Amino acid sequence: MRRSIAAALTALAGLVVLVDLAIANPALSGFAGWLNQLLVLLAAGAGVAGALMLVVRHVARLARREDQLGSVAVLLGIGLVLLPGLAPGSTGADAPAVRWVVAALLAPLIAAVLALLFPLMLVAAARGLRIRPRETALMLTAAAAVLILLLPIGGQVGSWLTATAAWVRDVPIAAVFRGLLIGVAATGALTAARILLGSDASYD
Amino acid sequence: MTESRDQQDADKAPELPEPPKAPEQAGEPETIDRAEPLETSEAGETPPAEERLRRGTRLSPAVRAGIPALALMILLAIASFIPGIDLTASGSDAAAVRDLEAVVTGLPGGAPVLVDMDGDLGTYPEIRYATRAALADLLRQGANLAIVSFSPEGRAIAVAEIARLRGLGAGPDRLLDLGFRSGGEAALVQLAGSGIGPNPTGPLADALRKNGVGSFRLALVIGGADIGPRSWVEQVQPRVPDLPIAAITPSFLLPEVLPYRGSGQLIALVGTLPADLAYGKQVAAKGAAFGPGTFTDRTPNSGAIVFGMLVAIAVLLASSGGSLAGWARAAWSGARS
Repeated sequence: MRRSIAAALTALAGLVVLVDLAIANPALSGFAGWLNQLLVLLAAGAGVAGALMLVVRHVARLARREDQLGSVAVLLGIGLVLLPGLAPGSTGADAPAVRWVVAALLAPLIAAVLALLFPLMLVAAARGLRIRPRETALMLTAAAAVLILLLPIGGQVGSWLTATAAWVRDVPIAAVFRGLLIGVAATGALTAARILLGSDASYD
Repeated sequence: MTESRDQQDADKAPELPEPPKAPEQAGEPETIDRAEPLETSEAGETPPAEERLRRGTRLSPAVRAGIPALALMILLAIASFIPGIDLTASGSDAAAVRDLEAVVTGLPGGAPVLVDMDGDLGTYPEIRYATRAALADLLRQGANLAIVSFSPEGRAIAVAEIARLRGLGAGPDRLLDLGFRSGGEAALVQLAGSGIGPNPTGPLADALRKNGVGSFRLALVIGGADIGPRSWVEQVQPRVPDLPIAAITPSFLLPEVLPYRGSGQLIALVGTLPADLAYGKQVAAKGAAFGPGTFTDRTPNSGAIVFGMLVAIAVLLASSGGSLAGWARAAWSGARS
């Protein structure tokens, strides 16, 4: 019974959104918009629940005296981002203090972490060469070849490299991506059809 | 200091186990096989003990990992002073630049333009130059911008760009901050269906609220991994078919979004560094001397980029070349036998 209710609700929601795309009807459009709003709320709720779980987990670690420095850093970071937005008189996410925290703290921190991508990729390549030497070597050689094609060399050689790089991007790489996208779309359509027809295994 | 002490120790063979370290030497790196008794050797040969000690004076792993990174940073900093190397724009790059220019130039004065700022902080530096050029070009053309983000990182970028444009004199009548909308693609659908919502204020917000999303003359998508041109084509275009979509994306997204440009679902797509540079230079040449349309950003230093590419190529080939050669040798001998 529980399975049938969940399957029916899911199928109904999916069909409403699907039919709304095909038929211009104000009432249906309003209902589809309401369902979409529920989805947005669900995503926001998941975000809040995730943050709460993070706080609970790190408070518990602090209580157990495990990795205190890391837990304090996480809790402090959460507080620094949340407090300016929740403080009395604040306008929420658009408050100047929140903007400052985002621009002066969050953005540089994320950018600093991502700046490590280059050395981390080199370390990953070294590990890959130890674990699967042939496959990794082939992959790295291909990466080096693409980089060589993108080198800004002047003259006739440079023009040839640029043209080849554009061809590699537009033909073989694009073909692989299109194949992937078509595969993802087909799988998505199949999964959606199974959900709408109530034959998805996730209800069992 | 460590090496000279070790060298002296190594010369005195046979050797007794070392006495405990002095307090000032306690922080020095540990030598390997320190506890084993050292061996004697004949004259003229490299003593095994010396060999071990030489190997044992290696720096700690953290220092060994840090030295190349530091060296790379210093070299990149030096390379950033190298004067520009022209990044050659291919024919498709030049066409992409022409497309975007034509789209912006074709906008009437006062046209509302929706800008989706959803780049990633990791890849945004690649498209920052072109993005700022596009914003300056739109404002110089007289367009009114409404900036929205659907990802937290995009919001961080938007906050910085809005502050920069406000500093250049873009008032609330020209620049509207639609803020961050949580929910990813569902929020995108919500924007397409319900419009900008009740929160934004100001004359531009009032006009947009009255006429709905369909009143935008263009959507400029600054794409990233979470939300990009693909999401816009899939979620917004079916709901607002009259809204033209142009995009600036990092090059890693190009294979995914190029088909949309080919099919005409995107009316312009700038996505490679040479195209970004070419577009920015054109905007800089015609940009306003002051005001929100000013575009005076320095071009990204191609010298440092090329240097980084050369380092990467060298490392990749040095690390993989040996394995590939061995593999090829083994395959060749296998085929012959």
